[in-house]
Amino acid sequence: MSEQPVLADIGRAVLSGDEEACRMLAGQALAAGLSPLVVIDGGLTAGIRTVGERFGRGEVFLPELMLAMMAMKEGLKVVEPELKKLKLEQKSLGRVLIGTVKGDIHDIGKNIVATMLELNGFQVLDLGIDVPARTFVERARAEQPQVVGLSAMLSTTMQEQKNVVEVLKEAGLRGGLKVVIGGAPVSQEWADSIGADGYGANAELSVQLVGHLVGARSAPGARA
Amino acid sequence: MAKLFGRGRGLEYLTHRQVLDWHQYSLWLLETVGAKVGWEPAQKLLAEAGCDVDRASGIVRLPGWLVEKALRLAPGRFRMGGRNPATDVVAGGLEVHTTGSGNCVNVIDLDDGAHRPGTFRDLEQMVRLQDALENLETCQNPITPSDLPRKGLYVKAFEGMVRNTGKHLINQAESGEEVEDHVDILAAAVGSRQDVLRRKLVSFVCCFKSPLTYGEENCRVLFECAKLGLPLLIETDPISGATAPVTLAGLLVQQAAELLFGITMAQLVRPGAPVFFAHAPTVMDMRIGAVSEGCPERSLYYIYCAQLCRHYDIPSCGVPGTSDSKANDLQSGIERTASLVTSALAGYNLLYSAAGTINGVLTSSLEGIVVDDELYGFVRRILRGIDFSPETIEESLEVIGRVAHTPKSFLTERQTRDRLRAEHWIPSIMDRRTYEVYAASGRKGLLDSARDKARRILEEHRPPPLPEGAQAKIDRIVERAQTR
Repeated sequence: MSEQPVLADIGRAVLSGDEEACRMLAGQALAAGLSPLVVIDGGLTAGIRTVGERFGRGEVFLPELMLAMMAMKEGLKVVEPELKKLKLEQKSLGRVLIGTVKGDIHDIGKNIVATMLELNGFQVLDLGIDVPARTFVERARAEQPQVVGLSAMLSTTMQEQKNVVEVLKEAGLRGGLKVVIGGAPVSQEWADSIGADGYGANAELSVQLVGHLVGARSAPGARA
Repeated sequence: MAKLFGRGRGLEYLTHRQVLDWHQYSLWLLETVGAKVGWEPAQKLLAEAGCDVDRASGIVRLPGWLVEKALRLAPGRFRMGGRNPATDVVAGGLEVHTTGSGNCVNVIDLDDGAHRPGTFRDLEQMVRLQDALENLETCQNPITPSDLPRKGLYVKAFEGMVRNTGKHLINQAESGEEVEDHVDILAAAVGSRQDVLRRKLVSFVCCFKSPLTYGEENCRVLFECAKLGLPLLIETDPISGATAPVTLAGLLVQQAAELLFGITMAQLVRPGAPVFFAHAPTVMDMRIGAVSEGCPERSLYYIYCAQLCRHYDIPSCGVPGTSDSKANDLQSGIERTASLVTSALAGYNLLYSAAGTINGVLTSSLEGIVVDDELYGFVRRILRGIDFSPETIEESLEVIGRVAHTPKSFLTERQTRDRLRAEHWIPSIMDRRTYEVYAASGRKGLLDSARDKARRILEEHRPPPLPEGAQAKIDRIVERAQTR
């Protein structure tokens, strides 16, 4: 990972999903004078990349991956204030707004997709569950994402995906903004019929889809 | 240390009283109808032990007390060793163990899918594949190769087995000398004849003819093997309606009598000789006169015999998981799974010969072997049951309390990560993807994944090597058998 022992330690803390150690080691690294970007690239991201590769090879499974992601985020919380102070920006392949549509409180699939997007270098803004259409509009306006992801688990709530697409259009936000959908009952045909830009059949394909839509050169080393 | 595959869960149909009756009916058969023995030294040994022997007809009538004595002498558990000691298994009790593919004559070619006679190369590949597959614990001769000289066929086959696996080996022999050939080959491979015998590195199948007929060749093998103390799979394969009564109870009584006779002979040769109650009973499909290896009656035979063998405290061995289908298809999946699951739950000790086979155990395939390794892993998970300990439940209650009514899911709980592998069976080739991913993969299904896995293992896996100079010694023993 790096010749800096503390960076290797951060990577290991991410691998083992140890939030406490991630926070502590990230603080130590900054105190030792390392640039916040180096702490992210050489420690936190390097660790999560390794987890992603192992996941891709079937050596570790979803819980390890998600715990590692949580640990990495804890480390990031320590580093981000320094980043802001120095007016530095974290590299990102693109910004994705994601949420489960109104009337639907299922979020496991959405969370897995969000994790895989983050793992692959996207910045993810997760609005949670039961998200009204107007919230998607307000946040899309404020955060300027390239992609909005709409999750629905039920054959009833998938109708709300159609509504959100229409409301975004009415708000004049569909210019550069891509909308993708996912969830057990939905399909490519449904995406086409409601005017969405794509359908992610699983986490891996969702990452590929978003990568394709934002024109990222190399999305995705990971698999789902 | 011998590994545990699984323990049966005591699936039983009979009362204790019925098991005792079954035993008495079988003894009555041996005392009145008797067994026909076609080898003079066996007749002599049986006569000396107290049997009523008619030299002219070869009919031997066995007193019940002699069988009871033999049952007390036969061991309830014994260890079957492998050249690689980590693969040793212990037969007996409620323990369930497995064997790979057994004694087929045809194969489905891995590359072009053709159904063709099996060769020595197929045998070597299947054995090497099975050496790498953890749910196939011991190795039977998978193929009777069509391209070997007739003389010493099983000895040459055994050479291919020894070279390609470190697991316990099961084969058949055509004479007492061939049993010795096997021991000599293994002695060259492990460096000591004592080790071969003490660790029981090889077992022999001794298959007699129903009803109650004991031919010379198999008697010779039984005597030689028992003398050496090597495990014997004493087997008959009665066909309900053809070589045994159409009533399944009648078949089971005849079957028990047949095997008790073989077991008694083995104990007379050497008290304490390790023996299996081995059998592959079938029914005849009376519409066409075909023998069915995939029938539901197969499951019943094994459930009932597992209970009888536990009463005898003698390891049971049979061939559940077989199919009459001509392809690795849905029929084959139904037949093999039904009999495997029921036999395993009944605590049948050695599930042998079936892995990878179709066509009534006449055809085997590399992809079928990989699929069955997966199926055996599936069954193994069922046998293990659920950890229902108070500790596990308490720990889980805490987790439920942490997650319920919060935005969190159990996916991000440490318990999920830490106990996942013990709780969930993780398949190797079963397809659980979404339809779209499957379609995008070019509709690759189970058999495609199995073929890929077989190719990868054949390319990468190296079985434990033989010591320097062993191969030359082994080749000389094979030549001796082929020119005898």
